[in-house]
Amino acid sequence: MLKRNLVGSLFRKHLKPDALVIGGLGSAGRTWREQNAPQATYYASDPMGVGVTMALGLALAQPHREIFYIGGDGDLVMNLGCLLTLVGSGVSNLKIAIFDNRRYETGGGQSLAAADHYSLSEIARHAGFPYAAAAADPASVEVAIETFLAQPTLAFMALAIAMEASPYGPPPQWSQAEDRAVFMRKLAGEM
Amino acid sequence: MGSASTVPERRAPGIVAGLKRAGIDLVSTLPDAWLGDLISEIEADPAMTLIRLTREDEGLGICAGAYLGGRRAALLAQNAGLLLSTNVLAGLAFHHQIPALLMIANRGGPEDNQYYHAYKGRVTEPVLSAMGIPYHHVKGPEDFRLIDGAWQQSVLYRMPVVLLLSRNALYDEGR
Repeated sequence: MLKRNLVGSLFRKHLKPDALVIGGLGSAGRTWREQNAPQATYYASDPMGVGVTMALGLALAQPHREIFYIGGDGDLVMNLGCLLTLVGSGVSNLKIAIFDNRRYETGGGQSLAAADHYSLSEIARHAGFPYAAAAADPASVEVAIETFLAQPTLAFMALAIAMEASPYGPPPQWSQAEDRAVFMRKLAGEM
Repeated sequence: MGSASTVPERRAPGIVAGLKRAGIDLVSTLPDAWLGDLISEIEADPAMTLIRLTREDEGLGICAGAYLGGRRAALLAQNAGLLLSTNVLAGLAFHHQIPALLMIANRGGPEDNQYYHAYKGRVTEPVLSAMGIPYHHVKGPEDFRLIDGAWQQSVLYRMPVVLLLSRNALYDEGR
């Protein structure tokens, strides 16, 4: 099993500086935020279940840039059919990284449905992802992440994340709409 | 003798022209029987990108991400999909404050003859009104100017705007 911060720091280390990031809600997004990464990032926040397709929309709008989505398993399975939508779209500049701990961690650690039975990477592979992998071993995860990020195609990675406390922080200073304006102005080269 | 015959006119080219006037070249869709010709028109147009969905609220995610990246997008679906997407619709409108154009086949009104569509016709407008989401009726080609107008309103309001498409706006039955 992998510690969240290890995974977040490895993505920060190996992701291209000019990549654009969509961060999901919950502990996966918080982990990425804690990295203070240089890549322009928009945190999809709520509504739950649309972060992945928000990343797809960004990939379709910015076809010459690498788009990286980092989010949680509960968020993904709320709209699992989106994996078919991604494959059908034909995009090649999108990477999907999922924190796979089979729990609604921010909600208190409740189990996902069928938590002991499924494999997200196998689901993605059978949905038609050209590349789908799983990582669970701290000793090999850095190589796995490098390999994943080096794919020239749409790619999926499920990372087996150990349960850790993940409390809500205080209310953020800026609203979602204010963050959105900052992200868009960065992208436009205004900031 | 006899009544003058009328040749049905395809509505889809006029709708796609409206999308282009609005600068929209990305459309995601989950089909409805009324939308078939329009979906085919978009798919056949090399200047347009069509994305097929498994659920309509995915399309709102695509609209949102595209807007973040500077591309204009629309969702094309039935009003059942609009009703399914209400949480995402509210999130885009009031949390993210992101524009999007929703082109919705407005089933369940006087143009429909199926019980299973009737409930949608009864609740669609009250739901949109309750949510504070702007909407307009597109009853025929004379209303296609509303397509770029609705996009402009969506940008100015920083929230999605819905166009409710009647059957007559999507198919000319030559009557």
